[in-house]
Parts: sequence; structure tokens; C-alpha cells
Amino acid sequence: MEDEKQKRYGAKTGEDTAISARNFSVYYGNFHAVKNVNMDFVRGKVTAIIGPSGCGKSTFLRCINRMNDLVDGCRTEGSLQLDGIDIYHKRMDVAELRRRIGMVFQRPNPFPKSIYENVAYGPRLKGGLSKDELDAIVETSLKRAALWDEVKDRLASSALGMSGGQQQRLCIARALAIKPEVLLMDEPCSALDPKSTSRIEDLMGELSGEYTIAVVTHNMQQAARVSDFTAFFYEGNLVEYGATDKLFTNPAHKATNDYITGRFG
Amino acid sequence: MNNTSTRKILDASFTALAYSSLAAVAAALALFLFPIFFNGAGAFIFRATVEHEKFLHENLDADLSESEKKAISESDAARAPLYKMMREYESPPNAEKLRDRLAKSYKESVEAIGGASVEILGALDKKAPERAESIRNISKKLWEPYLSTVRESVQESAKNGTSIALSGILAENEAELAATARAELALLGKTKRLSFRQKSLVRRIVTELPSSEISAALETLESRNRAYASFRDGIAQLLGPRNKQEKEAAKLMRQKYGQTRMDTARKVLENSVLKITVKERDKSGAEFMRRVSVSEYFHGTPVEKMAEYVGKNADAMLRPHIAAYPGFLFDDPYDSSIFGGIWPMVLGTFYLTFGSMLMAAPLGVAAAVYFSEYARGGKLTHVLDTCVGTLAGVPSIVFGLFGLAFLINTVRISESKSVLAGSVTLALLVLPTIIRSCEEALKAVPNSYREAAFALGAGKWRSIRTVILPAALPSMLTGIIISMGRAAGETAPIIFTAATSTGAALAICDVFTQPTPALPWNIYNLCTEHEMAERVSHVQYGMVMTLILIVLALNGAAIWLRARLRKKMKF
Ligand SMILES: Nc1ncnc2c1ncn2[C@@H]1O[C@H](COP(=O)(O)OP(=O)(O)O)[C@@H](O)[C@H]1O
Ligand SMILES: [Mg+2]
Repeated sequence: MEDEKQKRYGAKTGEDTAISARNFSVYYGNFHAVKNVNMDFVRGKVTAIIGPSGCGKSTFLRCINRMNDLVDGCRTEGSLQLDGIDIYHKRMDVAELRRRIGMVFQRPNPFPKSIYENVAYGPRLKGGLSKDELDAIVETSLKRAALWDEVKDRLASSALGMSGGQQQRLCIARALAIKPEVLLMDEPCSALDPKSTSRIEDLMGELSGEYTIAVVTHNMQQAARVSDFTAFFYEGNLVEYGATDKLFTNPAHKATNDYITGRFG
Repeated sequence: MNNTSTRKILDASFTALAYSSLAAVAAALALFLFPIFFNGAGAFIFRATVEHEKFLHENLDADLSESEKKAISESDAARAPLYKMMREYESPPNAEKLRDRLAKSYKESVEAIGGASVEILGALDKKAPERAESIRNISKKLWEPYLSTVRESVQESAKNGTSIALSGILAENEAELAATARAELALLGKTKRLSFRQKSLVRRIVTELPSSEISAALETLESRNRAYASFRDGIAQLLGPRNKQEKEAAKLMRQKYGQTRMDTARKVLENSVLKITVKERDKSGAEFMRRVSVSEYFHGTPVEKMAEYVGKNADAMLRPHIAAYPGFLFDDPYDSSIFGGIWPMVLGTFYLTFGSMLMAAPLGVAAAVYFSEYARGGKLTHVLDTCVGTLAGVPSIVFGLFGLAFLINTVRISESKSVLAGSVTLALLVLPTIIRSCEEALKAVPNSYREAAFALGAGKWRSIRTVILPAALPSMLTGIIISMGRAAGETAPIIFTAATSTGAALAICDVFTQPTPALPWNIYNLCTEHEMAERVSHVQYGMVMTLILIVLALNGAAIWLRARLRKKMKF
């Protein structure tokens, strides 16, 4: 039974599950984009989601904080739970959910505001914070995102004046400022140069443990470097899911093997 | 090889075409704007006369500098000889002598009638053909001394300027003729009873000849007097009243001052002083108007000298000098804008523009937010959207009529025209444009901002307020400011709802109840309905320039604001 569970959902015995998907499907109209996915995200670990483009990685990730609510004609089936609570429950407070699940997008998207205002945006939404508390949150968030030293002297200047890598780290700081439990990252490095990419990868390493991180990437090396677990999606199906070492060294499926050896994708 | 050279030629010709069309647009703009700015600047800086300083001093509390005082007294000195000539012409010193001479010869002729009573009675008894002859002879003999005096006087009067006095005397004598005839009849009636026919014959003998000659003389004199009067009016227009009494008697402000601007002074000099219009009769007796030069018409008379003097000394009498009059913008207009400035119109335009924006901007932004952020292709949205599009195409005069019929007559937003009614009408007019431009601005905000805000737990309204509206602000402001320019320049919507042609600057508390002058409407009014449109052309141009400057300034502000805000938050 335990073996079965491990095999099917990738969760090891005794490990803490943060998010679990059961027979989870997503449709865009009639198009079945994510098909009956069963998957557990382990708390405090980095989980990479890989797969050829169009296989439904982003769709699946965006369902976790219900960003797909914004897409007309998108609906889900099956269950998706955060700490045992149904994410798609009809009485779910979506704003609260999103505060618990932060997200970083493919292209850095800081607001056209100052660096400080960007980070303070989330905490401000919740309100009830003094100026000092807010300052403290901004500082710790920027420090966590390894950006503090670079921007501490120009917090009031526009976020749009920063480099792409800095902007992406600012977006991470902005997501961290609301103290989420989970951090979703959708190809966070695809728009960045190698140097910025490696900084973000380092950052993911530092943040794991404290946050449950789900990162979509099309870069196999990156997945191998940063993640503890890897899920391979193909045409909307979760083909294989398991510890990263095992998946990359000894994939159980032929498709996985083909993909990680670069035969398609 | 051939291919590349063809492409090069095409390239070059397209470039040339582009540049030449740009140049054409620039030239057209310059052609259009240059005269407006050139003439418009003439409302602020122009060649003024001393009358300008007199007006400012007496009406707008402007102090006269020493040099201005000196110029005024020098101009007075230059005018003095002209006024003296005019005075002498109008009441000549030899008028009394003339009166005596005419009175004397008139009396002699009248007395001669008494002596001729026998002859008269004889003539009455003659047969028809002879009777007519002898009547003519008797009359001639009776009146010859007087009539020849009249003839001489008329001829002389042209030279010595006694026309006015002479016409008075002649008119008196002519009026007396009837009395003379009555007296003569009474006299003859004592000696012989006269039949009705005989009575009328006697009347003919006594009055016919002198009457016709005197009226001919009078007509000559009077047409000359009329010509002089129009010359004198021209002088009054040019130089203003001749003395204190005339000035106090003047009812209109324009009668209290001469020409304040040299350009209009030149026109008056050319058209009303050196040349005048006279009424004449052709052979058939029909009257017609003729333009004549004063010196030709009054050749050899004192008036010719006056015209000559005015022509030569116009500058000395008016003292032209360059004057800057910034008050054109800030002063009230006086006497139908002939004097003073355009402040009430400028202020009215500001009231109407900002009033309309106060309503249209929030409404427009709200509607745009609804359309672009909330409405999701429902039927109602589609209908509303079509309405907005249709509204944008409605002619502005229709908005004006709507304002009158609905806002004023039905809703009774104010008793009659008011700034409020005009502002609401203008707001409705620009609303579609504002909605559309704000919609565009909102649509241009990248979706990633919305996603980022939602991902941080912001609600819809919160994300709109804190992220989307601020990001769209530069473009929205641009659209709003450009609409403001449109509102400032619209005429048709305010004709029925807000604009009056005259009126003082409106206090802010009166905007809910009172109409106001406003630039667009007053430009039209001044150009088409002003009784002296020629004389206020500088005001017309000044207003047009001010309006264009306001609109350009608004558009410039929009461009500047856009650039500034864009730099602050580029996306
Ligand atoms: N908003 C949408 N509406 C309809 N189809 C979509 C939408 N977004 C994505 N898809 C489709 O769903 C599939 C999965 O897309 P996505 O999750 O973005 O793939 P990935 O991130 O793995 O490249 C693709 O075939 C894509 O065309
Ligand atoms: Mg994707």
C-alpha cells in the first residue's frame, strides 16, 4: 500500500504533503489540457515540472492558486488540495488562497511603481501594518530574494529601471512579502541571461526548506540542479513523477528517457 | 542589377514624397496659423494713438506718464487749427452781414408787391395766353432783386463757408412767402372781391417763382451741408469729440474717443474723412449715392483746406506710437468690444471647459473601467457600447439643442442659459471621446500587471485602483486633456445653453444660474453680428489667437504630461 502510494504519487512514506492532486483535469472549453493528474507536492521541497511545450505544465501550475479562474471557459475536474483543504471549494476565499500560494511568472512583471511599493504591495492589501512593520517586511523580503544589497539605496526609484534578473528577483521578493507557504514559479528564468538564471537557481535552493516550491522549467539541467522531485508531463498526462536523481538517472518510462536525452521537446 | 537600381529610385521617390507631404502639411499649418498669430498679436502690441492712452487713463485708471501728457497736449495743439477752420466754416463771422443783406432785399421785393397791385389786378383780367406771360413778367420784376442776391450768396457761400447760415435764412424766407401771399391777397381783397380762381392766380404770382428758385438753391446748399456733416462725422470718428461739451453729450463710449489704433485710424481717414459718400440726383430726379473725394467735391472751399490739413497732419494729431496692451487679455470689453479686452470670454471658456471636464472625466473614466475591466461581452454591454459610438458621431449642434430642450426647458437645470447647462452639454459631447480614449488606455495596460496583482491576493477593484488605473493614467490624462481642448473650442453646444454675446466676467458663484460670454461664440458673434465688424478685427483675431493658444497649450500639456509620466513608469 505504501509502495503503491509512493509509486503513484511520488510521496515517500512519512513525508509531509503540501499539495495533492487527485484525478485532476483541466479543460479549455472542450480541450482537455491536463488529464487526470495524481500528484503530491512535498512540503519544503523543490518540485520541478518538465515536459515539452504545450503539455499543460503552466495550466496545471496556474490551477494551484486558481489563476485560471481569469481564463474564460477554463474548468477543472477532480480534486486539488492545499493542506487537506479543497482549493476549488466553492466557499474558498480565493484572495486568501493566493496569499498562501505565491507566484512568479515567466516574464518579470513588476508594477510600474517604486521598488519599495512593489514589495509592500501584498502586505498593504492585507492592511493593519505600521510603517516600521512594513519597512521590516520589505527589508527581509528583499534580503531573502538576495536583492537587498543591490537596491537598498534606491528603494524609491522605479522598479522598471532594473535589469531583467533584478526584476525577477524583485518579483520573488514581492511574492515572499506576503509570507506564502507555497511558491509557484512558471519558467522564472526563461527570459533571463545565464548569470541571472544561476542567481535565481541559487535562490531557490536557499528558499527550499522554508517554502514548498513548484517550478515549471523546460531546462533539464536546471530541473536536475534545483529540484528534489521532478514530474514529467506529456500531452496533459503526468507520465512520471519521482525523486529527481532517480528520474534523471533511471527513468521508468521510455517517453521520459526520450525527453531528458533530448530526443524531442 | 537593374532590380536594385529600380528599388533605389523607388526608395528615393518615396522618401521625397514623404518629405514633401510633410512640408506641405507644415506649410498649410503655417499658412493657416501665421495670419492668425500675426493679426492676433496685433491685439496686444500695435501702433496706438493718443486716444488709446486717454481711454486707459479715463476708464481703467491707467496713469499718464509725462511723455504721454506731452503727446496729448501736442496732439491737441495740432488739432486746434483744424477745429478753428471747422468752427469758422460752421458759424462764419460774415453770416450776420449776409442775413442783413438778404433780409433787406427780401423786404424790398415784398414791398414791391404792394406797388404792383394794379398790375396784378390787370393781369388777372387778361386772356389766358397773355395772362400767363404777364404773370411771369410781374413775378420776375417783383422778385428779381431778391433772387439775384440769393444766387450770388449761394455762389459765394461755397467759398466763404456760409452754406449753413445761408440755408437757414433761405428756409426762413421761404416759409414767410406763404404769409406774404396771404397778406397780399387780403390787401387786394379790400379793393376788389376776388373769385377763388383769381385768388389762386395771385398766390401764383407772389410765390411760384421765388419758391422754386429758393428750393433749388436750398437743395444745393443742403447737399453741400450734408457732405460737410459726413466729413465732420468722419473727423469726429477719427479724433473724437472736439470739446468738453461734445464729449459730455456723447452717449456711446465710441463717441467719446477717436481711433485708439493707427490701423483703424488709417481706415477711417481713407474711408470717412478724405473720401465721403454723398447723395445726389440724376436728371430724372432719382437719388443715388456717390463716393467722392472731399478735396474734389469741396474744391476751392475751406473744407478742401481742412481735408488737406487732416491728410497732412494725421500723425501729428494722433501721435502714433507702439503700445503694448497686455490688458487685452485681462480687461473687460467696453462698448461692444471696440475698447478694452476679452477677459469675460476667456474666463467663460475656462468655466465651461473645466466645468464640463469635472463631469465628463470621472464619468468617462468610470464608464471606461466598466467597459474594459468588468463588462464581459453581454448584450447590455454591446448596446451601451453602440450607444457610445453613436453618441460620438452626433453633430454638436444637436447636443446644443438637446441642452436647450432637455436640460433647460424640461429639467430646468437653470432659469435660462447658464454655465452649468453649457458645461453639462459639453460634458455629454466629449464623454464618448473620453470613454473611448480611456478604454484604449486601460486596454494598453499589460495583462501581466493584472495577473501580478491577483496573484498577490488583490481583488478586482483593488487591482484596478492600485495598479491598472495608475498605469493607465498617462494615456487617460492625454485623452482627457485633448477632449478639454475640444470642449474649449466648441461653439454649437453653447449657443443655446450658455453663451451670451455681451456681459461682464462671471463670479464663480454665478455659474449655476448665469450665462457667460465665451471665446468660440463671441468670435462668431463679433465677426458676423457686430455693427462695426471692421473696426474690431483686431479683437476677432486676438480672440482666435487666444483660443488657439489655449487649445495648443492644452495639447502641449497633454504631450508633456504623457512624456513625463511615461518616463516615470514605462511599459
Ligand atoms: N487560455 C487558453 N485557452 C485555450 N487553450 C489554452 C489556453 N492556455 C493554454 N491553452 C492550451 O493548453 C495547452 C497547455 O498549455 P500550457 O499549459 O500553456 O502549456 P505549457 O506551459 O506546458 O507549454 C496548450 O495546448 C495550449 O494551447
Ligand atoms: Mg508554459
